[in-house]
Amino acid sequence: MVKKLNGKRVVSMVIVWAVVVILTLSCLLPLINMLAISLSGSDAVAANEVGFIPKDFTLVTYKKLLEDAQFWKSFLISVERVILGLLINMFFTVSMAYPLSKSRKRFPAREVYIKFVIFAMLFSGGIIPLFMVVSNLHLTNTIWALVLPGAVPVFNVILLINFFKGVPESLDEAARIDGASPIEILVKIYLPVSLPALATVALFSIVNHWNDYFSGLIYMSKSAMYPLQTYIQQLTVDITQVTDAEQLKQMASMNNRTFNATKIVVSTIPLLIIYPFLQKYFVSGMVIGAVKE
Amino acid sequence: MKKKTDAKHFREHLPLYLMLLPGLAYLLINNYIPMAGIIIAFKKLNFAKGILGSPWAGFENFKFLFNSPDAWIITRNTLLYNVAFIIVNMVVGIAIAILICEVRSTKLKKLYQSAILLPFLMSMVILSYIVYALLSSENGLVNNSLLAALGIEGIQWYQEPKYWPFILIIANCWKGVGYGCLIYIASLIGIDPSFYEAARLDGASKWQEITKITLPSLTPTIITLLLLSIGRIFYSDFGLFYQVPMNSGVLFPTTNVIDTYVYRALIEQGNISMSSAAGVYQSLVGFVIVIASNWIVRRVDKERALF
Repeated sequence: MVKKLNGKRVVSMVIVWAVVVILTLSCLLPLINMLAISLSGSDAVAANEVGFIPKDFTLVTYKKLLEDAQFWKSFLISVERVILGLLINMFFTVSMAYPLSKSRKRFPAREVYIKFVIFAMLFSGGIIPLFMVVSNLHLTNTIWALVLPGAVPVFNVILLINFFKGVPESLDEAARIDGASPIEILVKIYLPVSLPALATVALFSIVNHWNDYFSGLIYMSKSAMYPLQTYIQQLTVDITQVTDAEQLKQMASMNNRTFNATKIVVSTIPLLIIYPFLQKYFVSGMVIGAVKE
Repeated sequence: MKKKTDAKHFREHLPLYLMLLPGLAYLLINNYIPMAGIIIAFKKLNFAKGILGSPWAGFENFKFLFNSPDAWIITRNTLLYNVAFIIVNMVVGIAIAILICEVRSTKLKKLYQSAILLPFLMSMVILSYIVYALLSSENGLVNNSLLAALGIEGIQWYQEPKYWPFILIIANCWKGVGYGCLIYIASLIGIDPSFYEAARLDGASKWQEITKITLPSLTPTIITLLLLSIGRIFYSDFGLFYQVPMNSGVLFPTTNVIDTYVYRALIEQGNISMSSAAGVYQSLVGFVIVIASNWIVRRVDKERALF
């Protein structure tokens, strides 16, 4: 079907395109700017000559970064944290969501437990009591302090409950008549059809663990144990604590912009690699999550 | 007779209970036991005596908190910012979703969606770097390129509280809008195209199509997302309010929220009583708000209540 293109429609199409392209660029440009700075000579950066194309192209900061032991130590801590955290998150999310997705008829106690779970999400004792629990269990300065306090992501549990509820009851029924155990039903029927939701939950979990710097800040007293984001956060902190103009100037010149930009670029690469693999499931999974419990 | 069926039921459901057990035990340790910690807010804490041994302070800590000017500032900031975030992200999110759906090519559509979600993957630490790259007075892009080109003198962004409501709202929108946007797009795709064809036959303008068909179809999604964010209205993203303004003291009047106050009272001043009083205030009021908003929605439309 050929649509008649009148002048008004063309104008509105042009406006749509212009706005969408500008928006897309506004999301990308700050990151491209970081990349350009990381690849430029420090003199050009200091003179504010670098926009979105590297000037005096050099890889010197990347070479320098390869020798930066603390950066890679933090990087490895973050990798370890993401792997451990993801496994633990997925275990709890699946094992809680499955029983709670059963109807009241099949699992009479459901209502009580779901209230128990939701209340845990809505009400918290705050960071001080949680910190005391973590330190009394002697978890501070270990990887477990980064992984265990968020081991049950209640929001993800609810997201997966909603997805499981959408699985046709008849599938479940048929498998039970064939004598399958609940575990078998979960592994062979529910998990395979729930890939979009699982991918979404996994992406949330990976992003949260990789990006979180706060738990590193409060649970780690040794900077050697900082995860990557906490390490990067420490590079900027205190810049504005200094109010004296002279001192500020000094710090700004010392503050190695190209090197920091390199660290930022490298720290985002892992997520950029994982994202496309999970993205194709992501949209459909997220939409289910927006549906009420 | 009732008992018998109970036992039978229990055996049948045993695997479900067992599956649920680790998670419940975990929540008990990680979430429920620390809830008892709210008593710290009612104690005059003495480390030598421990929490339970410390003398009771009644509402002394709360009195102290609410007599300080901070209590009003952090409450106001937390609420106003969240209201602004909800409105701005919703309007911008819906607008972008409608625009992206106007793009015909599926490949480009995918590209735009991915680009818009990209900031969502960035950490607050990196967002704070990006904002700093834009606003720093020494090398910031805004002062040195934009304002300089316009002949305007540079602004000391990190010293001027009045600009921060705008900066934080824009930064939050940049980082978070893609998430809501994707959900809106998915709902938009679900709208029956015959509605639009009928509207076009009747000579409806684009604007009429949006207000009469698109927006009403989005209402359920809007309400769900709205409820989710109202539930968090007494909480803020710590990183956004601490890290992005670089913890600059001059900016506290417009950047201090309950979460940053609790942290600073604890870490920077070591004032545990004050910090936990503010924490309990946040937990209680936040909880009441969630329950109240859910109750209201339940009365209006039971189907849409969160729980």
